Amino acid sequence: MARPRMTTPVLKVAAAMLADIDSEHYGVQLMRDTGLPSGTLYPVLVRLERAGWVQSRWEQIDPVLEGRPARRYYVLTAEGAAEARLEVAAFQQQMTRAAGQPFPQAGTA
Amino acid sequence: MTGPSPVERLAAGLLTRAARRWPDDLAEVMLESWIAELATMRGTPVRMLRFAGSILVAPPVEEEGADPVTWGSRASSAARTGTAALLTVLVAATLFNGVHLALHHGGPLLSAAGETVLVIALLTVSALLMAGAAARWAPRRRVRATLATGVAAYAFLLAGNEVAVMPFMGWPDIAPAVVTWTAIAALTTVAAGRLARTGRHRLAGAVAVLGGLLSVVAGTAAGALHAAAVLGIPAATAPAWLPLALLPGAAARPGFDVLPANAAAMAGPLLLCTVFLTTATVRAVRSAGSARPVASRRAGATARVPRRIDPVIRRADPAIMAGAITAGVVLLLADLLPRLSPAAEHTASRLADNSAVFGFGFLASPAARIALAFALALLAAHHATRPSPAS
Repeated sequence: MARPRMTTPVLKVAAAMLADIDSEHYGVQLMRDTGLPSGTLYPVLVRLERAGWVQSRWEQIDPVLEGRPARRYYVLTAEGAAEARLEVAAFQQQMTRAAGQPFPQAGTA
Repeated sequence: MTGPSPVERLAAGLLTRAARRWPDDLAEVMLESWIAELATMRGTPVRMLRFAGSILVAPPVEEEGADPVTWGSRASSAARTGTAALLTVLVAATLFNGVHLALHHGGPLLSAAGETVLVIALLTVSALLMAGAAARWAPRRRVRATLATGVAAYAFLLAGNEVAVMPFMGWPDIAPAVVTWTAIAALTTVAAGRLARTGRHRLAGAVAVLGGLLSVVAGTAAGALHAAAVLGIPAATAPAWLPLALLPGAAARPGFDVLPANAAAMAGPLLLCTVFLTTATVRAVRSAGSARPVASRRAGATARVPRRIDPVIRRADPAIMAGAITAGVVLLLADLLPRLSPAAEHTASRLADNSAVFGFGFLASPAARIALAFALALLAAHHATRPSPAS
């Protein structure tokens, strides 16, 4: 399975799912947690699922009783969680370095 | 439990439309999951529409193994479509004006029948050239190409009348002509495509040809209605306006001296654009018939979307070089030629004042020359990044 390309939306989704790794997540909740619009979120979820980082399943409810259709739930796989941790950590490290270092002065490079 | 509100139904409709663009194996599951999320937003119509609208306008996920469709790739595709449409209109107008010029110079030496034969022969050659161009550079998304050609034709005809030598060539004349032509041509393309997908390839080809013909006849009539009303020509003669506009000898008929000449300026380029688009549709219908009986929508998309560019070319150096050189050469020639040669200066001024040919008045404006150079640069850049057939 191909590795997903690490874009900012992919990292945001991975970080949001890692933050609550034991829970199952659904679309609107992930939109709220990541700030991503629906048009960006769903393609990211499909790419992560294709890469084997995420698994999805239908919510087990009776739609008549609940008064709404069953949601699609997404959860990180073990492999996805391990990979996502590494990628998010690497990204955070990079950001910390960038934020902590002064900009190079002219003539000092 | 109450039924869905009108807003929820609208949002569900938008999501259904969006799902059609997703890969076949995902479309159904994704649509169900979106509808489920939509149901939890009841009572918040703006949120529902924002949720559905975002999915509708954002690029869908790519087919598995294909390059992602991004906003950047969408912009690049739109630029290619726009450039191709603009160049189609420019080539069609150039060819038609060539026919007009040949008649202007050769007409006095020929009899009335000879003039008609000359025009028919030259129009046939022009149509064959447009058909050949369609065989070589057929647009992949034909409905979009048709709409873009309509926009380009409108801009060309409106901007081309900078020096208003034609009495009926304002927006009340051009807009009905181009809108009618575009609407019929686009509907024809959609209908031919649908028939081809259901395996009725012969019927699809016939619809493409007849619809193309109808689009030019109706477009010409719609564009000349205003002129006919002012000139007191009965609207019932509208079906004859296209042949009268294209063939010589119309001036001999009383009352028909202004209308056909005016209509020809629109009908000629539109006719040749129609030949280009109809050829592309007929070829697509035929290849669909020979390649796969009733192929799935996404099987076609698989061949369409993942156009991988060679990693070396991805650096875009050849594209940038080709585009920059083309734009530079075009602008340099446009600026230098008139200064170096009085004949070239004379030709350029006659091009711009609409006295010899119609529609190129926009070339008088430096901004339009830059836009044309940019369009040609984009085309050159596109060809520089085109993968070789072997790859």
